[in-house]
Amino acid sequence: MKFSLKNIELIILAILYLFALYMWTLPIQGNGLPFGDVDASSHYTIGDYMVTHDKSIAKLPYYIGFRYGTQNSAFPGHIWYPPQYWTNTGIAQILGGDRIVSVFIVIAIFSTLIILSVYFLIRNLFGFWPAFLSSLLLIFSTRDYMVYLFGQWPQSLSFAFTPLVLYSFYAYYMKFKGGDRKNIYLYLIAVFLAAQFFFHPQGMMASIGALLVFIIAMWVKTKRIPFDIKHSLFAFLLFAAVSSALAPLSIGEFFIELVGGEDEQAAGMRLDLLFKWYQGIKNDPGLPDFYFTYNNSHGTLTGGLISWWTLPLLLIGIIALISRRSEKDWILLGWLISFYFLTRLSVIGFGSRDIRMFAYEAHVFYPIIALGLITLYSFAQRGNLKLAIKYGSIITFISLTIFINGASAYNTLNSMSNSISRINIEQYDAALWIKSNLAEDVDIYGIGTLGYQNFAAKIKWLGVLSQRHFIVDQSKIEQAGYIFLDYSDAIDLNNQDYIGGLQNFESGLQNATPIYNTNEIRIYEIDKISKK
Amino acid sequence: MKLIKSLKNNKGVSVLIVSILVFGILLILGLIGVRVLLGITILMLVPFYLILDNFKLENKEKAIFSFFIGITIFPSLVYFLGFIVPFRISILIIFLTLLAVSYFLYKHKKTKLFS
Repeated sequence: MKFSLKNIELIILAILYLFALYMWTLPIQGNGLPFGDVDASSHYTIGDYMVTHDKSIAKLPYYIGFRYGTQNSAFPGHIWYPPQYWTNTGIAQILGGDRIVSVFIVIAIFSTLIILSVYFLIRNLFGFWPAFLSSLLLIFSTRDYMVYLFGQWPQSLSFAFTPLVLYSFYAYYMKFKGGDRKNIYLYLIAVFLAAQFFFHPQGMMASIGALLVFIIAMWVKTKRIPFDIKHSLFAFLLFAAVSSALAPLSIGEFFIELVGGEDEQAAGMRLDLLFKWYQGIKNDPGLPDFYFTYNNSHGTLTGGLISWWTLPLLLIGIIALISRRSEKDWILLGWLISFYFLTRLSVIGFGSRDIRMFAYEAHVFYPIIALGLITLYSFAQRGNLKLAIKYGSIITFISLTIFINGASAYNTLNSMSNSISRINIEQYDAALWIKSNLAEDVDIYGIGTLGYQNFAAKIKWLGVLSQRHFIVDQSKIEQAGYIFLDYSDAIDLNNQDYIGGLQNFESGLQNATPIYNTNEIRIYEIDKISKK
Repeated sequence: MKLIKSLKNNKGVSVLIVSILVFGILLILGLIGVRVLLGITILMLVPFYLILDNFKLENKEKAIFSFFIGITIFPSLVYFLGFIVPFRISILIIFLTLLAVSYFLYKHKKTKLFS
């Protein structure tokens, strides 16, 4: 067996990625039930439904139509995202032979692909150590694992394509500059951008923004267009053809959103945002406060002085890039500059989703932080001392990464394993019973499940796991055919008021006999209650 | 094909890396993890690697590009075929079709289009 440096690097990369998978699958290692807030259950359900019925669907099933039936403006009642991500989760279910864990494994794999794609880009531009250190730091990226825990999974995957787009254009440009042509890279970019469109257009915007800055910089630098117009046009046509052919129900929705904008009000001309990195945002309804502080986002969730440790390296990295300004430096500068503008589009009155673009901040920052470290030790004189400084710096960097960022990430990911916010086994069993025993078009009034008053994540999960429509508004109880009375969360919380409130509700059911009864969860048929 | 030649040349290392990955996944996620990871690698990476093998790209480029293209194109095709045939069958048909396409490209790559 030949152990060349290349082979050793591959083994290190395999171990690094395994470690990433270990960290990111902590929530499912001790608990095989689903997790995820907000839209998580919706990203699970279409694939699950297709596998259950062994066929693809374009029209939304009854139970999910209530939540997402109006999301696709061009085709109301139809799937509101391109089908690729959900089909992948369905394929994973079949491959794994398991309904929940298989899906969450493929989600963890997809959500950690950014670690590999950043490695690939940075390894090819700057060498092994910057790539390794960037990817190690990314394993513990708060922004990324929080997006994963919240359940915005297609968005995570979409951003993972950006380093490939940047690499492909860089590889194309370096050939083009030398008078050579390797147009395959342009066509690959077209496919990657289409993929980003399928998974989440935010990723596509990030790639296009970074490409634009790089192209402008090279154009100014060389005073000629840095690409072949004819082949770029063909690549654009390929992108348009692939996007419209493979996501026909989503193209219309994309343009309606693009032209018509969103429901939310744009912030208007806010020039002050140009001078604040995190824009002073607090108590945003869609994003937690830690999103807008550097040390919480890129250090530890508990904060503290030590959690700022990467900031000086980031600044050194930026200074190094600006002072060198080579083509490869411009790739990272382009990514950084476009990130700056894309996170403050509201300055020019364009939409209000720009702060959500902060989701990919770590992808841009961490390679620059790693380069900052390389810049620092590159100042050392030659000889043994230089080697000692180099490896000393690297060991210090790895230690800080693991013991500061890593410890925080481990605590958060591990704590999700037994979170009350997740479906418990009693709820899952009840959902399976409903799926097998009740008609597909029934409405079920759910009461008692944690957060049911606000139709929070758990009640949504109950809906998708049972593939039935749950309602929580008591004024609509007459519409329902069944009552789902759930004591399990109140018992787990040992909250007597909570339990008492549910008992009070149940006493009004005129001693009806439940059709499903596990003591913690009971299901009543409303017709049978009325007849008594 | 180049993939097979490359695997033969680095047989020991290839086996070692695959073993590390499979054993690691088995430890972390059990048999389901191995099935999912190997399954998506075989279904989605291999056919596109073989297709990209017909173009002048480096091995590392083919490896990473094929996986990312695979997780995009493979489910797209499965989804559309899944309207006509059962979803599970469509996975198999698309996999075999992509292998056939890669073989066709390999056989015809000396034509003008791929030279």
